[in-house]
Amino acid sequence: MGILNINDIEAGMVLKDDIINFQGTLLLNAGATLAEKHLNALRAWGVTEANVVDVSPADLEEKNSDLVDEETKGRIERELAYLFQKTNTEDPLIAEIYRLVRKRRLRSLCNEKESG
Amino acid sequence: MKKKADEITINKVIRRLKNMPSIPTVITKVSEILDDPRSCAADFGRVISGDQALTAKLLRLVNSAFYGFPGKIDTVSRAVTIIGFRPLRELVLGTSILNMFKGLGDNAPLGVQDFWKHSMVCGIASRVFGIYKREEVPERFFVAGLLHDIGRMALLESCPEQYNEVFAIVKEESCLVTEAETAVFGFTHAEVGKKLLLHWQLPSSLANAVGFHHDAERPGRSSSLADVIHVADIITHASSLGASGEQFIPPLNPHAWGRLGLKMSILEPAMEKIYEQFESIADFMLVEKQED
Repeated sequence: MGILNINDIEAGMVLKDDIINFQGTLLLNAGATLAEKHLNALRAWGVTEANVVDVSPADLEEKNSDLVDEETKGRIERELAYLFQKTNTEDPLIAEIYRLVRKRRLRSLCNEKESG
Repeated sequence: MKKKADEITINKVIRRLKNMPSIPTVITKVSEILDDPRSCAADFGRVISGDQALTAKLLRLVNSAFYGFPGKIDTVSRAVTIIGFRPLRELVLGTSILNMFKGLGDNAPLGVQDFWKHSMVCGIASRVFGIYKREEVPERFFVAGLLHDIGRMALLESCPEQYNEVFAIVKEESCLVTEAETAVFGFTHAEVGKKLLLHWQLPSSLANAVGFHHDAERPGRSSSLADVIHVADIITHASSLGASGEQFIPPLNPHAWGRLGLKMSILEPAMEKIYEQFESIADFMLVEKQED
């Protein structure tokens, strides 16, 4: 279980917690199995995250990361380390930006592989 | 690093910008219309329509993923009705300033296209954060982000030799460009940008945000505008879209992010919006090289 970004949530996942919108209105109950229509509704409501059963953010990172070879991963890490050297990577915001940029680079490599 | 060229002051930098046109009259006219309670959407449309290139850009912008409206907005007065006077004035300001820089920076060691790409992404990012903060006119943030590094353009244009020295120091010492600027000029591009915007008689909130985008922690000088462009600039550098001349992500002031009061989880959808909007508006918003 873990809090996942709305874009990483797939149909079939089960909610661990209730989802309420910014006005405090209950949108979906804990225990609900998510369908594609629910995800669209959540996005329309501006919900950015949800707590789901059985999947953690770390699992997802690994799934993407497995598709890319070690050498390329090392190259991405080195490029990012260079780029981030003057800022504090211990800071939670910077750590999150780092994670997202790395994820994007890995994903674009995976997409390239899949399409060509 | 020893300080050189100490005879150069910010005012001199700005005076030397002979090629820099003054702020377009269209902005003054638009502001007059805004200040006049009797004016209507059609008045605004009439002023803007005088400038066909501007009209075309504005309409493409309001019809892009930047807004994501389902229908087509085909006239400026219609855009006023849907988007509102103040946001449109900001867009006019941003678009006209981008145009003013046509032909500038040709002799710069920094690619002018990359520079504007960086500025554009920072503008988009600032506006996206403005929207998450539920700001009334998030387009203000777009303009502030767009102009945050304008002082660097001014420095490159008016003091190209000294600026080469800045890049030489950066290369030699692997330091931040801002540090090298301070060593060579005694001030940074942020301060030049602030003076330039004040010189153009743009709002002081905008000028201050640009002036403090690298040191948002100075007491009494923070504003949500400055905090937003500080964070947006860092995200823009991390995205590696375009280039500001700075090869490293500038240091973060954690208080700036804290003050914005945004959840960490908005970051991922925010970044996706930034990439998406950049792709949809970059091709027509970017300054083309001037053709002689």
